[in-house]
Amino acid sequence: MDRARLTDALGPLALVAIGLAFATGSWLGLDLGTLRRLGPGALPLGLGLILATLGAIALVQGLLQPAEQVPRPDLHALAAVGVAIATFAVLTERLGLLPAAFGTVLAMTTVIGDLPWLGRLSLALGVAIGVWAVFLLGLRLPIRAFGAG
Amino acid sequence: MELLGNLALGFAAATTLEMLTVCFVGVLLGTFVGVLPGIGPLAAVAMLLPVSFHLPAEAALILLAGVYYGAEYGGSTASILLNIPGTPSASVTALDGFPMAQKGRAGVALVLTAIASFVGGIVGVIVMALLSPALAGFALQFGPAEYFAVMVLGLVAATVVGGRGIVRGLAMVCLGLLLGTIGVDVNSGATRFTGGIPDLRDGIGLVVVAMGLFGVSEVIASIRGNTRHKVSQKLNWRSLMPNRADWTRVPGPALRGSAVGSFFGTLPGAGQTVASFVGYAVEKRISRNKDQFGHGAVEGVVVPESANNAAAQTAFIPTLTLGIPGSTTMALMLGALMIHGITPGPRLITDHPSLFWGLVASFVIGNLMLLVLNIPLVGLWARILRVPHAMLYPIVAVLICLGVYSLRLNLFDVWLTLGFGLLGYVMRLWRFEPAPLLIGFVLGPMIEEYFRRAMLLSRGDPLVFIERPGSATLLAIALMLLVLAALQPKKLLLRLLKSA
Repeated sequence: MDRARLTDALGPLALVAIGLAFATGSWLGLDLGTLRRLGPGALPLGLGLILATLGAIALVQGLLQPAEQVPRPDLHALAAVGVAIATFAVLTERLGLLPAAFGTVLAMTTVIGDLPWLGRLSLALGVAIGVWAVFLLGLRLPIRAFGAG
Repeated sequence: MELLGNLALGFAAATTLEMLTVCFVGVLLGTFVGVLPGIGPLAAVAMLLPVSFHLPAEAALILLAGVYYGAEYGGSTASILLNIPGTPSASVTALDGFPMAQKGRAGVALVLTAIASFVGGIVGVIVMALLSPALAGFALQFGPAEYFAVMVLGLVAATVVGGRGIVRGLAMVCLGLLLGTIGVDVNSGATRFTGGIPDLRDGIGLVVVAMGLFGVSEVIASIRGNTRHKVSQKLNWRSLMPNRADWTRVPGPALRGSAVGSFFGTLPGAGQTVASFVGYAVEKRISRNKDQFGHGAVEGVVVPESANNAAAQTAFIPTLTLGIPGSTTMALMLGALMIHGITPGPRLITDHPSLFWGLVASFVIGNLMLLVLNIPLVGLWARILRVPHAMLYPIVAVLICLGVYSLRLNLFDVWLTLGFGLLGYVMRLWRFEPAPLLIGFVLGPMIEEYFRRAMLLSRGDPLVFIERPGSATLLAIALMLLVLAALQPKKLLLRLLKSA
């Protein structure tokens, strides 16, 4: 079995695993009820088993067809978006919304690296001002502009 | 006549200053995201969901719907000027629109698509106003078993949307349904699959899933396609005006396109893209100018645009009268309704007449606004295509974070959105469609409720679903759809297109 085929099989395998996990969780941890009064675990048990079956079928289908190459993930883009959202979450808690908006744009543009420094800073400033005008002033969202919560 | 009274009610509801403003903002934003390749109407609707929660239900729906059909107008712009469809359904428009642009007739093509879109939109609205009450009246006889069957039909349709094969589509639906079970079960009060995390007790938010799967993963996937587009054509008034020969080739194709579009829009799972493909194929078959198709035929831009706009309107029929979303965007609309405490279903029209008829009226108003927005401002929209992505995506990222955070002021949701974004991206890599997952997620709680209720009423006999004629018919249709999907409709469509 070549590498491309193996990578491709990971998707359906993950589905089988997720399906079985939900099914086991319902079986062990939830009340299944009776046919007449189905408990909270009945539907997830059934669906988990169906998902695992579908995953298995997809796996077999994948093996019967010519292997399809799973494209390489764009780690640069992943990093840019991950850093941006993490910056937002961390800074909103510590410094408030506007520094977070500023920091998110600055972090993301820095990781992407397409804009010069001046462009990054002015875009970040512009977004922070825009967020303040539209969301805090206009829509009056109850979020702190500055300061830790 | 009852219809006239209803329409009067609708126009009264939709012409207040607030509703007009909301409608205008919606169609304006819709055109904007439609023009920009990369950010589709789906991501835009997902990003506006949090904002819509601060509005009354009517205004929320008018706003989201405006974005949705506004994007169908805008989608053709990039198709014609750059041969890059702004929305999937506009890809057909590129077949003749781009050749027209190459011949220096881009302005004419843009004006004709705006007019064709308008005709399609209005025909779609008329069909919706006439058909919805009848369909809802019929559906009022449904019991829990029929509702369950309707939902199954909707889910099956959702897998057909995906086009990656039924097994993969159904698997995504199941995954969506399972994700929907996370949180406290309303019937028993039992906590399901939260892993002890208190933030998950209320379940995963629809906005979190939608923003993650469609917003975040979309940004990851397209952030580096950072090409600045060159639009060389000058668009002035004179270059916009179609000549007399062009005009004579508009009415017939526009009406035929609208008819095809109205029909396919009502079918869950078919949607605008199929509508424009079929419309184009039919027109090519019957047209006298057959040999011009693909080389800049006027009919070739008129038909797909009228078809996809008609379909955009009639797609609301099954969504609002039966509660089955024909597409992912419709699933988000359903979600928005449910968050406002309105259950979509056959009672919607009678219980919330001003919501339904106000929406219908807003479609007419919105389409008029779009016509005005699109023809004189064609040059402006074309210029938007020059906005560099490097500036666009950081703004989108902030909007996503802020939108998610503003709902519950909970940063856990922001992290969870990042998680769903990664999931969505990984799913793309492995060729799994996120659309069926989202539709399963939205319908999950309802489908479980109806299933459990039907089982209770039948005293635990699962045969109830095939013994009652209503639910049996619906389930049979669902099965037929599955079989049809197994025959690979996309390939059939392409063959139809080639042979025509």
